[in-house]
Amino acid sequence: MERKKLLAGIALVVGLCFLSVPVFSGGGQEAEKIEIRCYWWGDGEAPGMAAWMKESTELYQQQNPNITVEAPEIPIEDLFTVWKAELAAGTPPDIQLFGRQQGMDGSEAGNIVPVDEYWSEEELAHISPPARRELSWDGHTWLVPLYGGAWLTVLNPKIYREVGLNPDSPPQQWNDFVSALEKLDTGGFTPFSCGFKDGYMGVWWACLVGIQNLDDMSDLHEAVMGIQHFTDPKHSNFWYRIEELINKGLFNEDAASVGFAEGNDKYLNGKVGMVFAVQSMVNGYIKELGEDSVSVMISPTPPNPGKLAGRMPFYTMPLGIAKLSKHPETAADFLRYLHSEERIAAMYKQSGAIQASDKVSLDIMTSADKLMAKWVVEVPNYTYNEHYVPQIESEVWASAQLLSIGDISAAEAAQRYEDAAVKWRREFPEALERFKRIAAEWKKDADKYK
Amino acid sequence: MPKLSIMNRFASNPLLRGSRFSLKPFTYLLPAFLVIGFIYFYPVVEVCRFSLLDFLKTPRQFVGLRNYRLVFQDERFFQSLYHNILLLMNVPVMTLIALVLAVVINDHVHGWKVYRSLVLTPYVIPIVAIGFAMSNFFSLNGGFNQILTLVGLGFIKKQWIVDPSWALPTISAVIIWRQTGFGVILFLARLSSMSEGIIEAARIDGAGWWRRFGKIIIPELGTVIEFFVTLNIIVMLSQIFAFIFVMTNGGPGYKTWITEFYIYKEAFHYNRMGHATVAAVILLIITIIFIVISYRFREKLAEEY
Amino acid sequence: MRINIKSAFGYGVKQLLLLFMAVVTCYPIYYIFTNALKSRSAYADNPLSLPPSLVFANFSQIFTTPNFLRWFYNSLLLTATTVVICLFISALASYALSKMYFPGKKLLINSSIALMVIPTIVMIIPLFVLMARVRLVNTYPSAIIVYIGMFLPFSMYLLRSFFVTIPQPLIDSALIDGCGSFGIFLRIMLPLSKPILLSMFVVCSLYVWNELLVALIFLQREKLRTLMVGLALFHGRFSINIPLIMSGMAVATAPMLILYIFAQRYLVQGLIAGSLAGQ
Repeated sequence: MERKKLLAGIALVVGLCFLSVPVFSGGGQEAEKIEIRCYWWGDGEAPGMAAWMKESTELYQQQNPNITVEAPEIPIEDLFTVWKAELAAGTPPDIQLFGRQQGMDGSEAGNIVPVDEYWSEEELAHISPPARRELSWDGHTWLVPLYGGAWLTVLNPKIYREVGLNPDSPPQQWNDFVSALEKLDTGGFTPFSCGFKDGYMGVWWACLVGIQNLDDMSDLHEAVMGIQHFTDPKHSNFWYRIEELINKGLFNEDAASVGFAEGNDKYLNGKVGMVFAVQSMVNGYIKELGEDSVSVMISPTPPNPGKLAGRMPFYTMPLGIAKLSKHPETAADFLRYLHSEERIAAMYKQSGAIQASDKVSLDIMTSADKLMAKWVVEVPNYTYNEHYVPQIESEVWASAQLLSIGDISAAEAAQRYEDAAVKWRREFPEALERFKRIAAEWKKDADKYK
Repeated sequence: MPKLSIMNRFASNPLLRGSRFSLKPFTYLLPAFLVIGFIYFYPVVEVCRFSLLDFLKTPRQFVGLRNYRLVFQDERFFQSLYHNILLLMNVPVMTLIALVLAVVINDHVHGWKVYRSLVLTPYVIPIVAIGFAMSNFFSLNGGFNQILTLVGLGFIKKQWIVDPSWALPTISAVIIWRQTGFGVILFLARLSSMSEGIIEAARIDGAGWWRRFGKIIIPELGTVIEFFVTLNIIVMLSQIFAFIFVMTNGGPGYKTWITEFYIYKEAFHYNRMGHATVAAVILLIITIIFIVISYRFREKLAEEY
Repeated sequence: MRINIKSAFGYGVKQLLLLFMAVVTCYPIYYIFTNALKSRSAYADNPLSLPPSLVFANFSQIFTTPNFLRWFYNSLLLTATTVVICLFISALASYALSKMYFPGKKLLINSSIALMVIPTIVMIIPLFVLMARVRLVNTYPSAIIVYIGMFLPFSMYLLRSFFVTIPQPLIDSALIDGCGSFGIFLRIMLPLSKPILLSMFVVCSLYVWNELLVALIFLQREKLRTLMVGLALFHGRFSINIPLIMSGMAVATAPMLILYIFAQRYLVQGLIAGSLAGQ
């Protein structure tokens, strides 16, 4: 009798464990309806994106009652880890935020299907050419943008005028840029604010300033492959530029102590002269400080510029369709919906983010955005960090942290960057082969996406 | 005849018969040991097995000691181990502070009960909360530098949490802050159960505070001190991931990487399972070595006292 | 009454020391709670001071932050489930280990103590790989079973040392009365162990609530995160609001503080018993 009670007790406990599997598992699926998941990120960068995405999923579901779309936002640093975990479990999301990096090192080869299997060439042609070029490799266009963003430098016209600078002709050349910062410094303002604690700023400097020393992204490819070196002047210049500003005390005092977000956030206290930003952040600043405290310029051109100087990097947050998706056509259709004129206009209105498509309507834009949209068409540039591999990028973070605190010199930072590339080539020979192949294709495609 | 019927009851009840092979213990032990087998034995075996495989290929290939070779060439791994060893220096500091505090509280000055309650509070605060607050506190314009300025020591202001030389010590300070309280209440418990007579006798004999402390209290507390030390050696080796993750995420550079963090990053960020499992095996071996050493030490202590 | 200068000095030193300890102990907690009640500009002006004016907006904002309440619920669920299941099965096992005779008993006891030293990260990797393969990652049971497993050795050790102290005659007389083994468990062992079970409850809850690594790896999806993981990963990439995050930390800390205030005795007993039981 007692044994039965005991066994019953154990069975109860074990049963509880098994019961919690279906009861507590996230999201039970019903077989008849179509359900797609989309893992993305963007609200941190463009506040309002989450609301726009929610509205988009709701409207799409209204138009297609048998389809359910789940689109949770995942923090950017977890996006890839979460993808990997779910891929390992065999249940990846149908749509995932990727980047060209994954194409170049082939880490996701075989895990995604190209969008051009579901979108017509006509539909794809709307995507801005430099963006489209970055989303294509191996003869296919694999990804489409969730949204696009301009990457540039922000300056505070009010503060500029106070120290006797002219905000309407911003300091484009490096020497002018440094003198402007020095004037801001003597004027009692924080000349340039950024945060190095988490290391992202290192990549930003490479992407906004460093890229202007190159003639084409092939230069970067060749440094990754070992034909050029990250210690060469054109590849290491940006480290020296950071070091110069640190030595002259032109950053905020606690640049090493604060993270990226905090560093940029200081612009809002109204005492900072200049800052790096993406287009959506600009709109955030305008909302808080007003248009007369926010103006944009293409990022300063460093000494010894290459052919990519004076151009504005325009990046996209690309979405791709998982190969293991059970409903790729539906996923592609949802993406198509997100690229409809109405949705593109709504995205701009709600979040200020610009789609990398010629379907954007310029008339609803702010003056700063109009400038950026103009630069995207007239002087577009690529995005530096889509053209190397993640293992090397993490070294840029680490070196930026140490450089900012004064533990290493710019020369050492460049050397560490180079060492990371050497290490990657040695440890991942297969990925290197793939990288070489795609880099060669890039060089050939120069004319295809004019 | 009552006695006989009781004897019969004894005889007929298998439990009372003291049957050595009764099924009963099995059912009681099963759930717990099933879980233990699954959570402890299976992973330890698998980790060793994984360290000999190449995870990038499907199916995973046996590559012998290749992963070990790669890890032993990895500077970051040795840096991580080194940082763990540096953190071991926290243990004597914590133990000493805990001893002093415990003895002082045991002297029952006014309010000792309040102090006794306060001292364990850091232990219940989530590491995530205190880690975030402290990394803030130790940033350039955070509270700590402000306090330094207030007391006139402003010239030693630093960016504590991101300074390559000070990041690890700063984290150490937070670890010590959190773990010491546990030692205090541990020592207190033993102190209060110690015979009052010994301490009183020494006091009457004119032994000073320090001599009482050194010659009487510490030997009496010997085994408890040894336990606390062992426990915290384990903590410094393998239970401080949360501190690093929340306060510095390994930075600046790789200056606050520890072995747990190395394993985590290699497994989940760099996707190098081989590296991660090798490091895990080595961490396991090091932990076992320390345990064996402390066990021998404890036996020796037991012999002497 | 003679005032012994030396002992008065000693007394003063002790009080000063303890006072210093009290300040150092409480200051970080004060830091969290006061900064949670400040506005962004008040925090930027002076992170050390008391709030110039109490700002409760941070708390209302954190509670309406997407998924925050969800994280809180997840932490509660995981803690409650782990504690209940773990206590039950460890009590069963400890009962057998303390009051029953069978071969290999000593071995089991010693091996389960030895398990406590195995580093968590070592266990997690193969478990994660296995769970990923059987699609149990991002489900509650994956984390729950790991937590149960991790707390079992300590729990069994403690309960066993306590059960051993329950007088054998008590059990014998119950046996004579015809009570079976499970009946003894329910009617004698458990009721007598209320204080130690309560201690285990408190220690286990503390452990699971505060835990980060296991939850970080097994519960990655936003909606499944525990409070600790949600807060640790809570940083909008392009904007940051320290007082807001502090309020989140305060909310995460409060339950443990409350538990400590009400159940301090049991917590201390649980922590100490584990350490001193074998001494």
